Amino acid sequence: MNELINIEIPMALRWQFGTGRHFSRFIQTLRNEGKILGIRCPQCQRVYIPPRLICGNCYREMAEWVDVKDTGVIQGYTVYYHPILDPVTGEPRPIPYGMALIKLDGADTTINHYLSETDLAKLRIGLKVRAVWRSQRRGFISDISHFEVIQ
Amino acid sequence: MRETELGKATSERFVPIEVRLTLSYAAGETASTFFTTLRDHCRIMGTKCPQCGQVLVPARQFCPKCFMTTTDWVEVGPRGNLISHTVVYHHGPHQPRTVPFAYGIIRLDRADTNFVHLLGECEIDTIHNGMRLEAVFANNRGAGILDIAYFRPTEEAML
Repeated sequence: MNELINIEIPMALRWQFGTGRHFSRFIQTLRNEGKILGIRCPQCQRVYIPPRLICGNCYREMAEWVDVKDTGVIQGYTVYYHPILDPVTGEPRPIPYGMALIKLDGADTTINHYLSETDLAKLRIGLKVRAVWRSQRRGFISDISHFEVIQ
Repeated sequence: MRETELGKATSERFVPIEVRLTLSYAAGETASTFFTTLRDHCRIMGTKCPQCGQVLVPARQFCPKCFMTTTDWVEVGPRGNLISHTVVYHHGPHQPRTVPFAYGIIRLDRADTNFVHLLGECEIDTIHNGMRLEAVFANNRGAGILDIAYFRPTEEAML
């Protein structure tokens, strides 16, 4: 049998999206001050993370900015053993890794983020977690490296 | 996002995103031989249909007309005729050259199918269909189609 080869086709997809007024302020505050901003609906009082212009429940325009903490509560979780391709690197993310829906303190919506805890027996809904920030912030959700469980 | 791009990620009005895809497919026996021969010997190989006799380049495992398994290998080129060409003026991130540059459809000597590749070492204005071309092989070859760096006009075509 002759040598059999693989054809490698590395490819990078690049695009950008316009942030709009509210998301722009959100990422600037994240980058410059390391603070997470939410926005509150004047009618139903829901606080959205990330901020958006219109409340999804009431269709009211929102303008009241709210500081949200970088601690929160797990609303749902899982541990990955079959990794997705990490869109940042194109490589599978090293397994195991945890993921959770986290409701940050002061917010009413959840964000999806990585967990350092990968032991399912130690994870449960309602656990308190805290964001672990990267040393250099760039104004992106990945400025938070992951969340760690706190007691 | 790639690290080098991340510095720009803090634009206040746009969020740049880069997703890197690492695609790979098994070339199979015939294409593997085609590419490793290109890499190791700088020879462009075709396969010949035992029924209709046409020589397929790049080499294929079966004849698309007769569905016969091709068994005989034929060395083609490295010279050929330019059948058609186009000039690229619009820069795209996946283009292999900076614009302007030209792609040619090339009929290699002894081949019966056409072959698409880059044209080089020639002024864009002087490219014309029918001109004689020859393959220039890359110094660093990795069993890919760019082991042929490009096709350039032969000396006779330059006269």
